[in-house]
Amino acid sequence: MSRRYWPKVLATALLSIFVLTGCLPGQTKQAEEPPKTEPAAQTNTPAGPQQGGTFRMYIINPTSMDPHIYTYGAHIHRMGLSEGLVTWKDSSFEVAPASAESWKISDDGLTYTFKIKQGLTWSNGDPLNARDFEYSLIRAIDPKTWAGAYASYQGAGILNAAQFQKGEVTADQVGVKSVDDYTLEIKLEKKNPIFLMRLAEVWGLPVHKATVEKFGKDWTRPENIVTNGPFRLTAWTVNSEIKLARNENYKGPNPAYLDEVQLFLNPPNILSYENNEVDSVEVTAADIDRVREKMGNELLSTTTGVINGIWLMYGDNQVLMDKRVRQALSMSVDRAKIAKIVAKDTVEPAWSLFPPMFKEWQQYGLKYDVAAAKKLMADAGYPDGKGFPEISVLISYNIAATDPFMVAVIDEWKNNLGITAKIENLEWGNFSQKRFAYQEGDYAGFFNFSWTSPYPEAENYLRSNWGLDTVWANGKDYKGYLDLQNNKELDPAERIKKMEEYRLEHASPEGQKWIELKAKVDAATSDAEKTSTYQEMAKLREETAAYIPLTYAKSFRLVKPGFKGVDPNPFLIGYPMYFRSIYVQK
Amino acid sequence: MLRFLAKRLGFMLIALIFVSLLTFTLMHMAPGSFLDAKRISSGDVSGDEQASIDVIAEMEKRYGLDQPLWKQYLMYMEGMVAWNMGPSFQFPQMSIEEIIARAFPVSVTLAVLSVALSVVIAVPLGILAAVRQNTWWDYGAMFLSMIGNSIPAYVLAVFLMLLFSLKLHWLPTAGWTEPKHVIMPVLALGLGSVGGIARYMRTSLVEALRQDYIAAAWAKGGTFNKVVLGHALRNSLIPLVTVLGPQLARLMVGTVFIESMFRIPGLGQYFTLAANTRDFPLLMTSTVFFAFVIMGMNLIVDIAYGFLDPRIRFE
Repeated sequence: MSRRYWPKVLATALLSIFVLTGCLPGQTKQAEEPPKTEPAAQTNTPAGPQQGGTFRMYIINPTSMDPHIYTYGAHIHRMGLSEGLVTWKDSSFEVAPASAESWKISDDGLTYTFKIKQGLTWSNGDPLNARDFEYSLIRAIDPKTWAGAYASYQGAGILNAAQFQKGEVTADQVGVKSVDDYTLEIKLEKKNPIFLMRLAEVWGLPVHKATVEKFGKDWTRPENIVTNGPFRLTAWTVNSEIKLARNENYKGPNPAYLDEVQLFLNPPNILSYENNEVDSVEVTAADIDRVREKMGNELLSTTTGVINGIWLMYGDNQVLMDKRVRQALSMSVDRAKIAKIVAKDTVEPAWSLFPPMFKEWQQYGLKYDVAAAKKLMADAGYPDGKGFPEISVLISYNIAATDPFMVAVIDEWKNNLGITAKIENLEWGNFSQKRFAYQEGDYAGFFNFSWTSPYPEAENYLRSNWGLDTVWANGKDYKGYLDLQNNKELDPAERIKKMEEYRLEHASPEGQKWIELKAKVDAATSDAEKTSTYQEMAKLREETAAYIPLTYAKSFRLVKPGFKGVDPNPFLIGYPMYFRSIYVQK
Repeated sequence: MLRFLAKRLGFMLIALIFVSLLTFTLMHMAPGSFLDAKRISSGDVSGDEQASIDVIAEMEKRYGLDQPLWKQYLMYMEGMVAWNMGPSFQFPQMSIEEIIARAFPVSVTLAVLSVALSVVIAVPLGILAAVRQNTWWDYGAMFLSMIGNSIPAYVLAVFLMLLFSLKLHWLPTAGWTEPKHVIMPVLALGLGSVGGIARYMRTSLVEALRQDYIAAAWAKGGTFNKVVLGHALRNSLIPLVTVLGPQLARLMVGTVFIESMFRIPGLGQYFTLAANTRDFPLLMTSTVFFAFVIMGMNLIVDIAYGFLDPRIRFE
């Protein structure tokens, strides 16, 4: 071959890659069209929303598409690919029927009997029945399913579920049984008023047994997957794009309007919204001014359950162990001013460890009161900040948009209390290690946290995080606790028992009180007693000021005017509740 | 030739073992762990201590993190040799060999196309500058290439998006499903290296054009095609190949910014994710894999010398 032909050869070779494969390398194959059993029931009245259209948005890059492994992919299942026994009606999180058309709760509140709707099918046409749900719920709890990852099932109180997770009992002892083809019975360990709401979470979604068993870990690939939701998965290009199409075999009560949903995997880019490539995009504080000015009428803002704040660290230095100092630090920061000026109203000022949807729980928070804060500092021995050492605030640059905010907080401390603090900005891995480490030497400070409960339950904001039982009387006590936690010689169960004993012995007075109140709640016989004890806990926690709330996150989302029914999830920023509610306004 | 190859491959093996040891050591010295980082980044911050401790114990067992370090290292190495590296931490349902098999072709496509683009532009530009030395053609070509050289690919990428997507509406800002998605990333990656390559081309062609055999060829009445493109160009390709080889290798192992901006499912994204989340198996394998690709490319460059210049002998 002569030399002068090589450019042609190269060009031909490259072209043939595209032509032969019909796509770019790295793309997954499109799923085959499933066999249609019969046309889906047309449930729309002519006046209501019509079927049709494609909705395109950004979503956080999922690393797995199994609903029983806790990743962002599981949420894509819940939002459209799969449907459990019950579902949430909308962002009110009200429970509505899905695969189960009705249910009965026994008088003691421990047994739930679900009637599964007849005639439901999987996306491949197979009938859906109670045994599918029995198999799936057991699978979600089975540690073998998510070995090496996180379980999507987290303590909703199913009988023997926790014991099964630890390998103490076998699967048939777990409180999930199919009575016949269309009846499923779930037994609980103890009464749980929000069990039905929890059941609509990702772990309650069914998976197709034959597909899972045939393909193993590859069952979630578009060419293999079988699901039962209003949509089905048609393409997944890892790190780039996901496509869903309406499932024509869906016969449940929550059908989809859209023909197709295209999910572009983060990072989001507003340019693509302006260029009409996506129909919806999440907006950050950096873009908010321009967006408000140019596209303000397309902007949807939502109050969320996310709380941002600072969390006390423990170590040799005892300066922050005085409750009065921490209260003063909290009370001297004018969150409203900073939220407006620095964060441009993309956040709400936070004075409580309960988010805005729990107004009645917010009353126990501290208040902005510089005079009182000054007095507290003087009482603690630091009048006008004299003699107070410099403290640190640990942040990670992966936590978005808190940096300028934190600078402003430190400025408030300086102006109002006369103390200095510095920001320590660490890479994520570094940050995640240092925040829970024992701080040696003079170091004293807080780390930046951000958390939301996955569902609207006030108690979860009390019990899941920010407990006072790990607030120590002396920072040095934390060392012994860490030693126990990291002691690999002891088996997990023993470690946990020892840690509990250690907390009882070394927790601060507030911590001791907290442990006492927690026990009181567990033993409470009436709802009124439970609530009043919880209120006492909430008040105690705000006063202790070991966790200082600063802001509530808000979500800002641009939505093209043609689309209706985009209902952002307040407990999962960047996600609508479900894809099924979205439709094109003709 | 065979002895040369055997020797080079031997060195490559030693270097790879060194790279793997270094990576393994650094990885374990770095603060933070996947389990810690994941606990909060996935939204999974249940205060349930029991669950946390159980899950961590289970994960350590599954990934062999409870084994002594030397054993863990041998496990990784064994996996790499057998091309069976097990699951990544963050993609629990994907094996590492699967990730590489999926993402590497993507990065290779991007690399080959963008290097091809820079060569197609840079070589004529370099020739023009060399042949019309010290005229405004030369200065103009070199000035343009200088600009190209000083603009980073990710800056160019934003500029291209603004121009082609936002102003002209010709191309989508990002994606990897249709051939038109390739255009902007290839331009962003390719245009930047035009400057460097054109300069190498110019310098080495100027050098070649000054040789006696070129004067002789002109004297014999040779045409431009014959003398410049036939004789001088071939002999000035060695510096070019020296630059292009590693350039291609660097792009082949993934370009972090461009892949992320254009949502291209290449290796670079996996690699940064792995580093950020301390995904040890993926981090370890991808580093060794990168080293392997870069060394392999250098070997190919060395072999190519021999074909371009028969005077070079392999020893």
